[in-house]
Amino acid sequence: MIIDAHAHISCWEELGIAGDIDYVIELMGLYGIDKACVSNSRSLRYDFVQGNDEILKAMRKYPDRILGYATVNPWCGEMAVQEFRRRILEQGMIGLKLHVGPTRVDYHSPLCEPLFREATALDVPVLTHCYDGGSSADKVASTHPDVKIILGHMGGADWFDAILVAKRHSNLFLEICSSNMERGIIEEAVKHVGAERVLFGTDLPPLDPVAALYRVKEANITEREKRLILGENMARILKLEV
Amino acid sequence: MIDANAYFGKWAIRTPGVGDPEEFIATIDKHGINIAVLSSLKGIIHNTRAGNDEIIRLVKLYPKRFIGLCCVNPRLGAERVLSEVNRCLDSGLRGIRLYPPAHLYDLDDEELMDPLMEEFERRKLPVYVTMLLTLGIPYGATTFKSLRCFVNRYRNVNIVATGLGYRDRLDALRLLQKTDNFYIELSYDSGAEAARWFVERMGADRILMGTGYCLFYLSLGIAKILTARITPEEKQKILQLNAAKLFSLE
Repeated sequence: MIIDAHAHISCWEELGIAGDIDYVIELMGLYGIDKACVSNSRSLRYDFVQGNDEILKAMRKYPDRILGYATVNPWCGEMAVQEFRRRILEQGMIGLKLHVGPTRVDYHSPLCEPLFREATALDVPVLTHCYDGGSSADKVASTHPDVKIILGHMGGADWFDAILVAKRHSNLFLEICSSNMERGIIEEAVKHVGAERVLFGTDLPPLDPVAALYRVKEANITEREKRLILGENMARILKLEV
Repeated sequence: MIDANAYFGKWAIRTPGVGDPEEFIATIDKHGINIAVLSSLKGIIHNTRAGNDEIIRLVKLYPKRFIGLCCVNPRLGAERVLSEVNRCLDSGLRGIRLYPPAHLYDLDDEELMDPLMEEFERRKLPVYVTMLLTLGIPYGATTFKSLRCFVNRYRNVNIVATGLGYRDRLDALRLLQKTDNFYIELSYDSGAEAARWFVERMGADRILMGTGYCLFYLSLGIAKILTARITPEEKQKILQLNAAKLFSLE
């Protein structure tokens, strides 16, 4: 089973790329992706309640294929915590998505504290947009050791720093999608943190699944390690039956 | 298949390079690449003449497998640069790669670029422009604005942009539509359905498959085309025919 731990719906007008849920399903079909965990760029950039509503619609339209992240804005305090809790407990979303880019709130900021406490209580993962080599996650990982924190994009250009950060904290997971197609990324991640904490993600539809999928396929690691990365690890985090 | 954008050698950052020609050939063989258009990392980021020597040697070793690009720094002066270009082209190289930010010049510096481009126009050989090698490196990126001016100024020279990202698509499309000497190579475009996106908007005639190997995972660039939702004829152009035409291969 292939599970995409990091996907989206919505549009990126400035890039000439748009992707509603039907297009996401098309792309998943092209590359044999069974399930995708999606968040909404509208939630990240504009109105998170509206964006989460669209995620819920997508989950209901494709219940076997689409798993939803709730996205909230840490600036909204208790209202954000309530939104997060409601989406998980009442609507079956699978985790929280935080993005430092549009909000300018680092994950170790006091503004995120209540959200990580809530993630601990709900026992769900937090997917972070991580292009800082993992430095913000490094600070929050030990404060909230029971939260599974996914470093989306695996640190970005400073991916090796993110690997070293993940090596220090057993609750950190490296998710591999990014525009960085350098040889050796997957092998180094597996070498230092083990395949059990490396996750396949695509960032579709702005990014193409082919970029992440063929990184894993070509990587010089075992077939078992590839299976773990491509789906078994995320299934374990989400307590899904494979 | 022709890989229109490959690199040989090593650099000081993260990714392991390939400095062994046999290892390089074995890897491209494994993935079904017949010919690789090759640039020297040594030439791009360290010493152009030493890099050119390396590529000349590789092309002589594997004349049917490698098309070699030379690399020069136009700031070193027209006479010296043209002498180096002529040495390289007379030794079997078939084009040139420019990486302006790494060599501290601008594509719109006509005083530097005119003599060089006149030579490539005369020889009818392509000029590669490196936009970016990859993320987070200290060598900088060429701006699209300078590329656009460059392509428009030298309309009689075929210019190939490598290292274009998905964020450049709308600008690249506009330039493709307004010119006929501009080619794009897709190894660094990680956006959804890159080949289909361009083919649907301007056809397949000036799109090249590149892998970015030995910096990138090699299979990615190939898979991007092979799995694309375009016709077999369009795939063949991108995988082979366009590059063959660009380099006047039979």
